[in-house]
Amino acid sequence: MTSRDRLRIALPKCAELPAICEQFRACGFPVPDLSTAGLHLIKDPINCGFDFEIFRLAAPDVGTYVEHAISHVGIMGTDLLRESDAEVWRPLTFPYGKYPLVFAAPRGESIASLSARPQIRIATPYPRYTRELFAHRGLAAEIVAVSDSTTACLLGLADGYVDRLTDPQSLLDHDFRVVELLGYTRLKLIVNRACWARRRIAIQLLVQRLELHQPLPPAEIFIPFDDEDDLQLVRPWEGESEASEGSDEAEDSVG
Amino acid sequence: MLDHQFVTPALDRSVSLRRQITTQAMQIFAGWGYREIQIPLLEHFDSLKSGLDEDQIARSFRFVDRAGNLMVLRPDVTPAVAKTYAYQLRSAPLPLRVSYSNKVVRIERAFVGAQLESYQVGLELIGAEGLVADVEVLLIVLELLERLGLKRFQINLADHKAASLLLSATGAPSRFRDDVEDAILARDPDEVRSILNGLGTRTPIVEAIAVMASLEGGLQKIDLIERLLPNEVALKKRLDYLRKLEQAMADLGYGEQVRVDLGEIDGPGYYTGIGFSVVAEGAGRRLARGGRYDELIGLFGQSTAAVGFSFSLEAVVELLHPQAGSSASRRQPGDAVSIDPKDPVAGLRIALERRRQNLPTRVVVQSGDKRDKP
Repeated sequence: MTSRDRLRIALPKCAELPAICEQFRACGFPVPDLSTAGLHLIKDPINCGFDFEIFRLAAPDVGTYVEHAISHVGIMGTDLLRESDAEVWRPLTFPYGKYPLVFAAPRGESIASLSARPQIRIATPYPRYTRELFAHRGLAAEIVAVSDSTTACLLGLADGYVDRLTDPQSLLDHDFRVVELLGYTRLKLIVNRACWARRRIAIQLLVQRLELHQPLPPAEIFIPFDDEDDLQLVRPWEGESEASEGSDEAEDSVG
Repeated sequence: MLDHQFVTPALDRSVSLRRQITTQAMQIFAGWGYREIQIPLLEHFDSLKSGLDEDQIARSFRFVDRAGNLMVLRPDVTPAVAKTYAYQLRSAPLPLRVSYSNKVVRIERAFVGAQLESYQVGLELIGAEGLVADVEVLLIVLELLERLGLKRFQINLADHKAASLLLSATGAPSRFRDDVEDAILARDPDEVRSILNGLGTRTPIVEAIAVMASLEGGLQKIDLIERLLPNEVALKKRLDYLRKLEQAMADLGYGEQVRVDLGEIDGPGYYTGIGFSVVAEGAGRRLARGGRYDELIGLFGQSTAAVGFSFSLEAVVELLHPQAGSSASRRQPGDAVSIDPKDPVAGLRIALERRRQNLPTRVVVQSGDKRDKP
């Protein structure tokens, strides 16, 4: 059971944690070093009538803690949120933590060539989402749940993978290409859905404060599609930000 | 307040607490003129399925009986009550007030596989429409919450009709409409804008739905939507009704506890008018949910307006359990009656006499073993 006059915020252990802490600091939260375990008490910095308890959690667990109101507020990516199927509110989208969610395969492969096989195996850290995706398209695919999908493909465990694209260079180095852009994952502030009035007002104030201090979004991640003409020669993400094929698709959050 | 004096120190205290809450709820419902109805747990699937939405069917337990009939364990009480009314009680004078304390069997999505059976206590007001009926139901919810001793609670009030009018106005195909509805439920205005702008929906409609999906509630959100869509007559009518309902509750002294929150439109698909949910400080999930379903009974027989609600006993017990637990675990001073095994009748007579006076009594048999001594 949580304390009455405190509002707990669960921050995820992820690559965006420093940016998250920085944004909270900009909002007036003296966020301490979160490498030490436990709850860090922060006396009401936004004058909302609640003190805050900030703590760090494994990124996939944040939704569960918030859904069960152990933490009132948390931060989670829509990829993991969708996978955990946690029923929470998502009132704020952070400008960072936006990654393309892609279906990638070794260079030369296409959806047609893969689906012509009697059985394809797809590696992914998002088995639930991927299973639904392929079932929806009527493709018979065996879904292999792994945390490192590139290695799974390199060692022959799978024919392709569905994952976030965080580093296009690594994808090219392994001679993989994006077969399809499936959408974008976004980082969201998540809130327990059974908030009582006063607590909800405090969370609204927090959301407003975070909106005021949203940093500029980072540059879009280049998506290396299987297009032989430019890939070997031009690396646009290193130079000018040339729009890549498919980048004009409607932003479709995965969550 | 709950009477904790005789909370049974059961192995699972939630059992006795659940029984107490049920008794208290049924007394309140009876006080408002509601009569208890018993609905079978096992139903023919074909006879009930028209009242269940896709999600409820997916979460239900179905099986074939010995005669080859497809059966279902009741996943929700309201459609079963609607069916019973349409088939068996349609000659009863309206309005008909029924209450129930029943078990439902379904896979609770939030706790996948962990919770299959749950207890619901609630009521249905059949054959009554308009403000008076809606206020009556809300007042009963409030009375029960007060009698449970809750101080910090709130009823979030929305309108399913207003939401469906807005969603239809988007012109979005049903698949996308479901996604927009999910985004409203998740209070994700960015997602609403992302989906609808991609579909080319008119900006005022996109913004009106984004307002509906915002975390903030309150009457000012109704004003905002009306300003964005001044020519939507049907929508305005529904929003005016919500405003009137909120005003009526405020006039009755419940302005603090009842709050318009247009995004609170989840729940089963049969709701067609107001919808509401109850939240309380300390509870991780909603305590109750209800709403108007004027078209559900028509699926089984003659169309009849109705409104109702149900409390999730698990959620209420979870909230009250720590309070009741601390009180129940304290032994009453002087409740032990020591009984000598050589002459048990004398001791038992004392115990009997204490119980006749309704005093708490705990039988303790004397022995050489210290553990059995009081």
